[in-house]
This record gives sequence, structure tokens and C-alpha cells, in this order.
Amino acid sequence: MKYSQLLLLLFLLIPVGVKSQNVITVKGVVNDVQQLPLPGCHVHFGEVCVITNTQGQFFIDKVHPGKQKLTFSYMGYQPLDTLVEIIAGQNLQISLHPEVHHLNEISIQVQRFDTVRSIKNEIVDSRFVAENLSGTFIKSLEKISGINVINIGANASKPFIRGMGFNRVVVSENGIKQENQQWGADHGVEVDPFAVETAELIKGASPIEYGSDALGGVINMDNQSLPFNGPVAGEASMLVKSINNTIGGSVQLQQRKNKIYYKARVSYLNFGDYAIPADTIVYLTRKIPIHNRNLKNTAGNEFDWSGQLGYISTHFKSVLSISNVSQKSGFFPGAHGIPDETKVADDGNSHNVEFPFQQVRHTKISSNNKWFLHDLTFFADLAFQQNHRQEWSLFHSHFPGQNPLADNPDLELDFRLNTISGNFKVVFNDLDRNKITVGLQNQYSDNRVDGYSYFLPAYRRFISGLFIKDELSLNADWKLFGGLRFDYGTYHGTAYFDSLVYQYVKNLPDRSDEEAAYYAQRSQSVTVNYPGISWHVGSTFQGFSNTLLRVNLGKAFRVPTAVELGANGVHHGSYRFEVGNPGLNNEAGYYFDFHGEYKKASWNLGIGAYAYYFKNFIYLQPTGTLDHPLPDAGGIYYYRQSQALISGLELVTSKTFYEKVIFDVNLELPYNYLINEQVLLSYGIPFTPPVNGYLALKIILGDKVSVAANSKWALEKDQTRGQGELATPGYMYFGLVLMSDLNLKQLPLSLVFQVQNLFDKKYYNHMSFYRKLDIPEPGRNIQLVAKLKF
Amino acid sequence: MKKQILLITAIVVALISCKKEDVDNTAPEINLAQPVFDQTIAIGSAIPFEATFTDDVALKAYKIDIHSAQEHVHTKYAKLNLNEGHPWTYEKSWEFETGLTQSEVKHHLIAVPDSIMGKEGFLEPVMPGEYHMGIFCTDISGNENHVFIDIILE
Repeated sequence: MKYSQLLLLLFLLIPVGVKSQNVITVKGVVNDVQQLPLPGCHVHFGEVCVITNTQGQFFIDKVHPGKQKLTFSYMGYQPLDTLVEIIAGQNLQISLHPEVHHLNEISIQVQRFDTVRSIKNEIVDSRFVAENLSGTFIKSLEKISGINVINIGANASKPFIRGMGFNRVVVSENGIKQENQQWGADHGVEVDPFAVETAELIKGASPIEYGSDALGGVINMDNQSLPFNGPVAGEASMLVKSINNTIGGSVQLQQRKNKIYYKARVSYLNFGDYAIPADTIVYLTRKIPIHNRNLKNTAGNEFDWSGQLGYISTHFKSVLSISNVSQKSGFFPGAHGIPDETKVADDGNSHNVEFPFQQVRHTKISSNNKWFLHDLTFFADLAFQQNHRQEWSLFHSHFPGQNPLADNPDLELDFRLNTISGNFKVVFNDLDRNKITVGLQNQYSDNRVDGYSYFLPAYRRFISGLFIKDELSLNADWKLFGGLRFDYGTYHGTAYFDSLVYQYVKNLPDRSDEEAAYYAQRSQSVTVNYPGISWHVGSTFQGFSNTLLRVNLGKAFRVPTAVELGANGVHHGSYRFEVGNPGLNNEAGYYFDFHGEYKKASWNLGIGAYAYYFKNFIYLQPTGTLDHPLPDAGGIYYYRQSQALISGLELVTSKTFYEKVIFDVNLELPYNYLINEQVLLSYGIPFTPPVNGYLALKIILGDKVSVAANSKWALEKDQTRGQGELATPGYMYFGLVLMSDLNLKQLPLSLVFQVQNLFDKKYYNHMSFYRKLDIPEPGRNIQLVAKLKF
Repeated sequence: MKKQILLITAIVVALISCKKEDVDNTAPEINLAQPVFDQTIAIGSAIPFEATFTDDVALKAYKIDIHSAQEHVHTKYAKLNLNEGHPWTYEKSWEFETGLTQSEVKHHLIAVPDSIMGKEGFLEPVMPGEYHMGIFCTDISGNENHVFIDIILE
């Protein structure tokens, strides 16, 4: 052989040689959280799939060192899709968590990012819920940047994500959407605060899988964790609050015998009138005294129960759930009807609920099913839910001819919404580098109304949505996401002719019969069909060390609500004459969002920026016209559509010093405007949060105890507020938390002691329904949450 | 990392540079001189009305709305005393001249009648007692303000 040929051969061999020298065998162990081995776990590497042995060990031959993607899946456990830095001689320790414990709880002893979805999500675990429990689950999310909460008194809350709320966010439980957001601002999200095990918060539009309302984001609560095999286990929780003398408790029992398990929970809360740091409020330009600084008749109670029956086998998992949430709470009588000091006189009882009050019930039966087939997973979720809300108020009327009804004469409003839903989804796991999901979602709702006042039409609605999405792994660092959804729905609103209004207007001087008939037609018979298309493209990139970048672009839409389409009359409680528009189009918006995360052991930083451009954002426009005959109302407001910009920045950073001191900073800077034709950007959008932030300093004192101080603040909201909104001054309030994990006869007992609004600061929430009534937010609250597992 | 910073800076600049135009978020003010709170007015006479309306841009309209305070809360427990007459209601709105930023309104246009058409189609005397009077005012941008007082008809 010639020398040159030998050299050529050598050159040809070198790369091969380098490669073959460097392939190694990866080995490791898969355990569950209690460090018990998981035999039979599937470990995928490229096209290789190995199964762990009886000790939970696995071996994969011929793997190149460097970052490699490994996937672990095991029945009843959350699959783990991860990048691992492969080094010769290492023994990987993988631990998988039971199914509901979402990605961030799955630990692996390699530096990695928790989640690789393109839309930024936050996972809230049971620990977070326990530490932040405050009578409502939604309230506990307030500290997260981009999430704002409207509190309606001390025991009801509504979420806002990125400045969008009501029908622009989705709240769901075990994947089933809660259907009660269209009923106005004065009731909360009906969920047993003790029953939430984990929750996923998605900030940003997620229309492909969650449907048309998920413009701002999604809150999905989950309580379907799989119990461990063994004897009956459970937990008992207790909540005590000083602000309204809440006493609450919950007991849960669960047991699993191999393939079958059950769970059952009962919760009860009783609360009194809540304290505000003010002696008077102003209602209809009159000062109303607040005796003993307690807001009269804001007491109430809540009784919730739920049960689950589960079946799990190697290829099938099914959970049948039934739950009921039932709340009764009073309204402050000083801000209802005519201002009258006698109505707010101290009645000596802070736990009674008198008129006016509301009663809310949410009942749900659902069946969640999953089939694990060779290379696909099939999901079928079926549910029926009834949302029933009643407002009771001593019979009163503006119209001389109106007499109380024989049955329930004091039932002012009654809404009963029945919804059946059926969601189906197939996930193809084993396609080359692709993960494709195809789904079909159907929903039928029927809303009925009753009571001596009229607020909302009876209606029927049917929506069906078909979607496909793909997750494509270009390489270990780079993923592309794409999705397309087509929705088709029909809405039929029932006409309502209010003969009392007709008589009233007809009898007024200077008003014609035609005018009387116009004002008496509180809603028209409307049938609307609304097809809509949503799409999404996104990408994640982890090529820079310790960094995860996400970018998303898409189109999402929302269907107009019954009120937006058909209102005609004085809005209950807001003193506005609101006129709906049956010609409204779907509210469609294009969104862009970017999120960058940098994570190290002791420091992490996340920056998010988002912008939505709406072609036809639905909002209530004041006209200044006062020429209408209806009593107790000011100007006429029309539901109109305008271009709008909703944008903002979010910043989260957390730094740990000496492994014991943790400093958290959360910032939110929203910037929302309606875009007027004449001026580039004009009025602010109502319900836009002010620039706000949350700071916390936590010190870990040993294994069992930690203390934390926190502060929530907001800047003044004035120039950028929406039309018809009041300016709201800035504020800052402080809190203290003491957490402790103890053992009570060898049973783990966790205690969380908290002081909220430590200095009893008087402040207003810009977005609250109570802002207009000049009712400040609750004052100082001292509370204790105890949880015992057995 | 550099790219990241550039991108973030670009977004921040884009957001901040969208400087909004001045908008009219200031509601008009109502300074009511007459009637005063709990003023007694004789049935059959006119209610003296005197108020000053001001706005920073331009006024649009004002409205007067009067109805019985009792009719609000008449219930099966506390029925109206219809023997005393029929409750009177009043509503009327007026538009300001275009462009006015201040207007002093003084009139006796609100006449309380002696009797009105009752339910059965017969004239009935106006019910005396406490009435609720609301004055609403708007500006051209739709900003709104209101004042509520009680008056007594005798």
C-alpha cells in the first residue's frame, strides 16, 4: 500500500474511530418519589426503547456523550421528557412523580429546565396551595406576575391573566371548563379551596387545546392524583382567619387496591362579616357609615363535597368524579338600592346572612378516560355540570304595577346553566421527532332565568371545535410547535318583553307607545352562527447554557356573550343603560409573546413580553346620551368593537443566598389601549391592572421551619384607565408567613401561620367591582392553616 | 445572550414609544344649589332647580330623575299606602349648547302635579312623602357624574 493511500485511509478512519471510541452505555435507575424502584418503566432514546428491570435499572448501549434526549414513561406517572448531559461512568437517578404532579416537580439530578412547552406555564403544587390558602384558591395565585385577582368580599375571587378576565380566560377543573364566567363580576370561581392538589397556570393565549375563550390564559386545577397502594389514607385540613372569623375544615379519605381506588372529601367553611380599614364609604354620593369597621351582612358559609372512583390498568385509566360546591354569602346592604343609613345599623350579629344575599351552586359529574396504546394515547373526557346562582333581595321594584310572585317573592335573579361536554383527543407519541395531537371538543349549554328582575336572556349554545397540533423536535435544543383549530358554534338567545317597563314608559308624559315598546324589549330573539379559526406557531430553544427561550405567534378569538349580543336595559348594580348589539363579530386577536428564562442553582430570571392586536375588541362605550326614560340610570352605553392593543412585560427573578435566604421579585407592567381611528392609541381598556409587583424574602431555619416577609404594591392608575373608571391611588402592603413541618405521633403535620396586610393599610383594587362603591379591600388578616396527613 | 438583550430592548422601546394621545377621562362636576337635601316641596308647585355644571373639555347633557323612595322598597311586608295617592315619577334630560365648559342652570320646569293617572285609569292624587332625586351629567366623551338627594313632597 502506498504511503498516501495509508494516510487517506487513516483520515477516513479517524472520525469513525473518534465516534466509536466515544459511544458509551448509559445506565440509571428510575424511582418514584419515595425512592422505590419502578420496574417496567419505558425508557426511550431515539428509536431505542428499553424497559427497567425489577430493580428499576436500565441500560442503553451506544449513546454518544453530550446532551441527549431521554423519555421516561410509566403508568400513572407523569412522563418525563428530558435532556441529559451524558458522561461516561455516570449512573442517572431519575425519579418520576405521580400523574398530577406536573413537570416542575419531576426532579432529575442534572441541570435542566422543567418544561418545554412553548407557552409559559407555571405549576402550582399542593405545597404552594397550602402555603397560600386564603379561603379561595384563586386568591392564592395573586402573587404570580401576570395574574391579578378581583376579590368580591373576603371569600370569592375572580382571576385576570395578562389584564384579561371573565370570558377571556378559561378556568377548568380536571380539564373540564367551569361555565359560569358570564354572570357578571360579583361572584367568584366555584371551587373547593381544600380540594385543589395541583394547578397549571398558562399565561398567554392557548386557543388550540382550550378553545376560543382562552385569550388571556388558562387556570387548570387538578385533583386526580393517584393514591398509593395500601390501607386507607387521607388528610385533614383546617383554616382559621381573623378578618371575618372564618373557621373551615376539610377531611379527605383515599384508598387504592391495585387497580381500583377511591377518594372522598367533605369541606365546610363558615365566615362572618369582614373588616375593612375605613369608617365610611360613599355610595350614590352619600356617606354610608361602617359600624365597627365591619362590612355588615358580608358573612356566609360554604359546603363542598366530592368523590372519585378510579380504575387503572396497564393500558387504561378511568376516573369518575362527582363534586358539589355550594356557597351562600351576603351583600353589603349599604350599597344596594337606595342609600339608607338604617340598613347599615349594627344588628349585633356578625355571622347572620340577611337580604340581600347570593347563593351559588356548582355541581359536576365527569368521567376522564385514558387509553395507552402501543404508540398513541387516547383521551375521552365527558362531563355534565350545572351552575346555579340566585340573588335574593327583599322584593322591590321601580315599576308601580309590579307585584311579588307567589313563589319565592324575594328571589331577584336566578340563573341556571346546564352544560354537557365531550372532549376527545389522540396523542401520537412515537412518530419520528413529531408528537401530533388531534382533538375534538363539543359543548352544549342551556341557560334559564327566573326572578323578579331581569338581567340576562335565556339562551342555548352549541360549540364544536376540531384541532390538530404538532410538536417537532428539530434537535436536542430546538423544538417547533404548530396548531390549527376550527370552531363552529350556534347561539340562540330568547327574546324578552318586559311589560312592566312598557306600562311604566307608556304612562310617562312625552313618551310614545313606540318608545315604550323599544325600552320594554329587554332582549331580542337572536340566532348567531359563528365559525372561527385559531392558529398557533411557536418555538423553544435551549441552545445557550442554562437558558430557555420561547416565542409564540398566533390568532385567537372569542365569541360574544349573551349580554354583549342582547342586553337592553339598566345593568343590575352599575347604574348604566347598556345596549347590546346582535351584529357583533367574533372578537379576534393576533398575539405575539416572548419568554426568556435563565436558571442556575442559586439564581433564576424570567422575562416575558407579550402583545395582542385585536381587530374588534368588544367593549362598552359610553355615549354621554342621557335621553332615556328608565329610572336609576345615567348615560347610555353601547357594546362596540374597536381595534385594541393589549401588551405588557413580566419579570420574575429569584436569588438564593447561602442556600437559606431566598429573595423573590415579581413585576408586571401592563400597557393596554383601545386604538381609535383618529389618534393612534386612545383610551385605556377597562379592568387593566396597574403596574404592580410582589416581593418576598424567605429564610429557611433548619429542615422544618421557614419564615418569610412579603410585600405587594401597585402604582397609581390614572392616565391609562378605561373610560368610566375611577383613578385608583397606588399602594403597598406587607405580610408575614411562618411555615413549619412537624410530626404529630409520626404523622406529618404542616402549619402555615400568616399575617396579611400587616399594617391594616387602606387601599383599593382598581379592578374590583367594589372600587366604584369606594369600599376598600380587606384589612389586616391573621390566619392559620394546618394540614395533617394520615 | 446578546441577541436576547437586543430583542428585549427592542420590545421595551416599541412599547414605550407608543406614547398615547391625551384622553378625556375627567368627569363633569355637578354643584347643586337647589333643591337642598330633604327640602320640602308642596305638591302642585314647581321644584326650584339651580345647579352649576362644569367640565374640562365640553359638557354634553344633564338629566333629572325623581321617583318615590318608598316605591323602591314596597314589598309584601311593607305595602305602599295607596290610599294616600299614586307615586309620581319624573325624568327629563337636556342637552347643553355645543362646546360649553360651564353652565349655570336655573329653572322651575319641574312641576309636581296635583294628580296623575293611576292604575285603574282614574286620576289620583300624587302620593306625598320622601322622593329620590338624581341629577346625572355627562361630557362629550361620555364621562359621567351624578348627585343623589332626597326631597319631601307635601
